[in-house]
Amino acid sequence: MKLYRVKVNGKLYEVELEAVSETSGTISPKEVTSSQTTNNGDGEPFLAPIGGKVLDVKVTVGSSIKKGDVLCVIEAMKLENEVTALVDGTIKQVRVNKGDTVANKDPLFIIG
Amino acid sequence: MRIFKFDTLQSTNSYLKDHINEHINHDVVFTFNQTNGHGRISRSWCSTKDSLTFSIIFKDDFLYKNYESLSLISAVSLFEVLSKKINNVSIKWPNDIIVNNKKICGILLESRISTKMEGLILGIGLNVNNEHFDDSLNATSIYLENNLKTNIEDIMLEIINNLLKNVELFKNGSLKHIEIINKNNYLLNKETYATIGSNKQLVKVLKILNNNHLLVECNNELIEVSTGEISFHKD
Repeated sequence: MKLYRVKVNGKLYEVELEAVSETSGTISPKEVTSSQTTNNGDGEPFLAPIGGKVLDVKVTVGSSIKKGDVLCVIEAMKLENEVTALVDGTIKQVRVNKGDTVANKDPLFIIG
Repeated sequence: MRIFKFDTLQSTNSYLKDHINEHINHDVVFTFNQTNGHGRISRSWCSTKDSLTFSIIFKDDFLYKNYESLSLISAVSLFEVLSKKINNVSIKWPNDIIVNNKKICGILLESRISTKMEGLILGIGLNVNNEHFDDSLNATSIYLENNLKTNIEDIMLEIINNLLKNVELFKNGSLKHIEIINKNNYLLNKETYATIGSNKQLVKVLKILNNNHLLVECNNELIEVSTGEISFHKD
């Protein structure tokens, strides 16, 4: 089985190809998505860079943010981490509350 | 090491966080007049001209991975300096310094992180020449313990040099800080109430392990906990 990436109408698909006879075999395209794409097209998920307890959430839905702005504070092993934005944008969704425990790479916000 | 001295600052830790890209490894920010200091979980930290308030930044990939150890090493570094000046100093894991059952300093470790840490900021507030505290604070100072006034900048340099020396020892494989905490463990063999996870229980503190975790005895069972998993309280 060989893996190919195929672009169709601007969308990228991962396709596994197996040598088959002329009368059998099907190909099931699987859409390749970046780990950062969201499930509803509103924006990109911002993932927790560290696991721990959410001490504070500094933004709300609709907040305009710039790269470097502090979005939330996560405490891990008595270290308070100010988590900062990677890009400018607007907060489309807030997926955590103060007091929540999050794991590394849990989605915290959707930023559009 | 560079020391940046300010006449007034709201918070030495906040200053370093806000100017994180302008500072290099081991830069120190210091003021005699911190107007809006804070401790963990945004608790306020009150300081006066009789207190020492400074922060030091670490930009070090090794320490980013071992920040738990930095927390303990900072407590040990303070302990060693204070023990030369006053008696009855002990360390309450992970990083509180207790003198005669009272708190003498606060240590706050913070970072800025986007996809990776941009810096570790260690803030220290130490009661040096304070002559009085409200009873509610349960606090003490070097002066109240030995009746001698101390030069604040001198003791700051002593603490920083000891801290950097201990960090270097750790980076070279030393676990001396664990040994010192265990020998001077404020909670050693004491029974105290603690919340582990969501359960409040009576525990007996046994020792600090080489991985910085605490070994406690609870209901005849030995349990290993990290700093994020346990909190102590009076009842």
